[in-house]
Amino acid sequence: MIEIKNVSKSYVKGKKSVDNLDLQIKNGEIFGFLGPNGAGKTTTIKMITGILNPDEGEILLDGKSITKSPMEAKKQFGYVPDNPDMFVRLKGIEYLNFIADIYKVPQDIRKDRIEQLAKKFEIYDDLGSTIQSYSHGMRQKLIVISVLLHNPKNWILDEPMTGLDPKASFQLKELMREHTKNGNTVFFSTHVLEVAEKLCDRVGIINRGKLIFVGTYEKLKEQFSEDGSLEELFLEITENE
Amino acid sequence: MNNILLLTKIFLKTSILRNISSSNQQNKKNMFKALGIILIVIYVAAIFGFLSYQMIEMLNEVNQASLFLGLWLLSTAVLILIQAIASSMNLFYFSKDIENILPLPIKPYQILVAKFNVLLLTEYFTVFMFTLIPFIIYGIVTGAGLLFYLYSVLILLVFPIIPALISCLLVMILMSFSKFTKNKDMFQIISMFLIIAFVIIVQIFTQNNTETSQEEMIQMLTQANGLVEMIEKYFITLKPAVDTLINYNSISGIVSFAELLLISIVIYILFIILSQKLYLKGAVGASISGKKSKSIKNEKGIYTDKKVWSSYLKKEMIMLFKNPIYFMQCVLPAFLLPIIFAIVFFAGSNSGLEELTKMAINPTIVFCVAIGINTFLISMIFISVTAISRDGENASFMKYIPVPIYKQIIYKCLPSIIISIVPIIFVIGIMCYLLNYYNILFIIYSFVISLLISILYSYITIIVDLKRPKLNWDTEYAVVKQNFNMIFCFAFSIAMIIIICLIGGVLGNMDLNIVAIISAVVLTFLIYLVYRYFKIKDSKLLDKIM
Repeated sequence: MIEIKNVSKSYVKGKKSVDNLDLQIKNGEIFGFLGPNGAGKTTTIKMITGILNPDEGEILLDGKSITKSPMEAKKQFGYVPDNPDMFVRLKGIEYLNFIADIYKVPQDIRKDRIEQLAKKFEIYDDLGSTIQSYSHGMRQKLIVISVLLHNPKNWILDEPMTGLDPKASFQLKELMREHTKNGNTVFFSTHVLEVAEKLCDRVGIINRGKLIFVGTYEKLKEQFSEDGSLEELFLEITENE
Repeated sequence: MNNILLLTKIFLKTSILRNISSSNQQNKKNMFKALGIILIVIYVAAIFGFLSYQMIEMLNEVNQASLFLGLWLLSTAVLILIQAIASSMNLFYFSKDIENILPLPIKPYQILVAKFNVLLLTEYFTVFMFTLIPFIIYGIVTGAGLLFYLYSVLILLVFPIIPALISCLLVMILMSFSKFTKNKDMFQIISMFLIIAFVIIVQIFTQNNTETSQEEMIQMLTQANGLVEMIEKYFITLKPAVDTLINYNSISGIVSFAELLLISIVIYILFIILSQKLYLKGAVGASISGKKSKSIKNEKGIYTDKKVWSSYLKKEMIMLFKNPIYFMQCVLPAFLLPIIFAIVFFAGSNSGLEELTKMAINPTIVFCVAIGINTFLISMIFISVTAISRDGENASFMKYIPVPIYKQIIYKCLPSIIISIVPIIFVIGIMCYLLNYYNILFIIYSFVISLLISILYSYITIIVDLKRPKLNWDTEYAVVKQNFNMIFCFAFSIAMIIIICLIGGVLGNMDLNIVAIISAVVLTFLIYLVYRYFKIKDSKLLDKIM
């Protein structure tokens, strides 16, 4: 479970990038975080993961505060950043082993997971090559695999579908569903509205740092025009604010 | 033409002027930087001025002053050759801008000309620093007219073209082979090694072995002029350049200058035509290692788990050693400098060695000398001072993994400390051999104290990088070369060496055991203080990373 309690953050004095954000992502839930460019999505994700400190408020991951007990909180999530160009001089397998060592994944479990996930995402045969020789999509797949190695309860993903081919995108969505079925949490930001529409149990829309909607897609439709597509709704909401 | 100017501007901005921003906040910093650069330029120019003045005076006494022009221009050409090899490799091949430029409607020759313009502009900086003051001194000593100075400036603008072209061509030929090699990174490292080896060999051969009297010096300079005359036949712009300056007052000066200009233009055009294909072939994908996919199916022992520190250290080491730019800029000096140090001692003047041998009676002084040399060499390792910056946008990785920040900082300091062991052992070994001084206590003390200095250096310079990280770069080259933080490494080195000299001076007569133990206690205490600072600050250390 991810609890964001009245969190605010500003980079420039007087201008809040995230303004009094209050949000709870329950266990067993896929939550889509939507918003136009510069709305505060990445800032929020960076605060959840401990990259940025909130000016006000508190963030809890399975009850552990990211600011007060960061080590405990960081063990509770796996994070896929928006840029998959990580440590490109390492070989794929070296990167996975490194991450497994960081999260102290035992040898037999890591072997099983790496083989299973790498085969599923069809990069098993490339694990011996340096990440530098990977395409954007392959790098994205590698990062996703690395995040799943320690089987974290909470997945936090920043634009995870970018660069993935339809098959890999489908597989990732399947994994997300599977993960939440077991009572875990998925929190991800996206620009692809259809993904949010078809995949998410609930969506949140943020604009200029403020959360302007939280709820199911149905509720969103109810609240706004009944027959409009989510895209139109999305534009309507963000423009009216 | 417009495209060429535009590209030149862009390349210039991304390669050299990147650090100079016009915002108000940056102005103070820029002024500080500019002041630093001006001081260095004045210092270097003054050294060359002094050196040339002695040569000109000597030659002038025997009415041979004009020999100086040929000698100095030849040296300038060699200087450009060496410098342009390194900078053209970075400019033409390691910067990734070429892949963004290629899809634009710009002709290949325009890219080439623009890149060469940038190279030439950077060379002019060196050339003017190296040559302007010596030429002014020559003008004053020989009582030359105003026209001489005008010609000097013109020559300095035209003359560097051909040596820079030769370097570019050499690099292009070398790099065009790189597509035949499977591992491009390794090939880049090896070619850089070859070039450096060449420079070292030249240095050994030109090393001046004996103290020379004035007569011998003149004789040597005259002999050197024979060399100039020999090279003139091959290096066809040297003679017209020298002739222009000698005959500046007559019509033959103009003729010589016209000859120089014409040759340079013709060769320049030829170069552009010939190298177009050669360049683009090698440049595209030079920064990418194109390897076939490699499976791990048949590899054994790939899933062994390691302790966090050991896995982190392995990652840092791979990132350093597998990246040719980081390897050459951050690691290589640590291996290369001891070799140069050895050459200076073996092939160089013996007087310094004799002095040192006399001192060998006093173990404390020998110990101070060893520590001083090691401190200097350690400060040439730029691993910790770039430890955060090298990660670039990946630096935020440190913030979201469940490993305490202070521990990660220590892991990032380890490569610098481990690599410094190589020059430390090398220097102590050479000193023992040269002085025939195999005192076990001296060896142990020198090693331990040098290592402690290396730890302190690594800790302090990583603080510099934490406070002023350079995370937004588009070429890895910028992390080291366009990073002002390096000045702190030199500052550390200077401060430590001054302290060591003071210790040598004040405590020179004290027992080695006492001096070593006091040094060890003080250094350990300082290291502990910095460690405490890391531990207390912990997550606040990475406030600059977002």
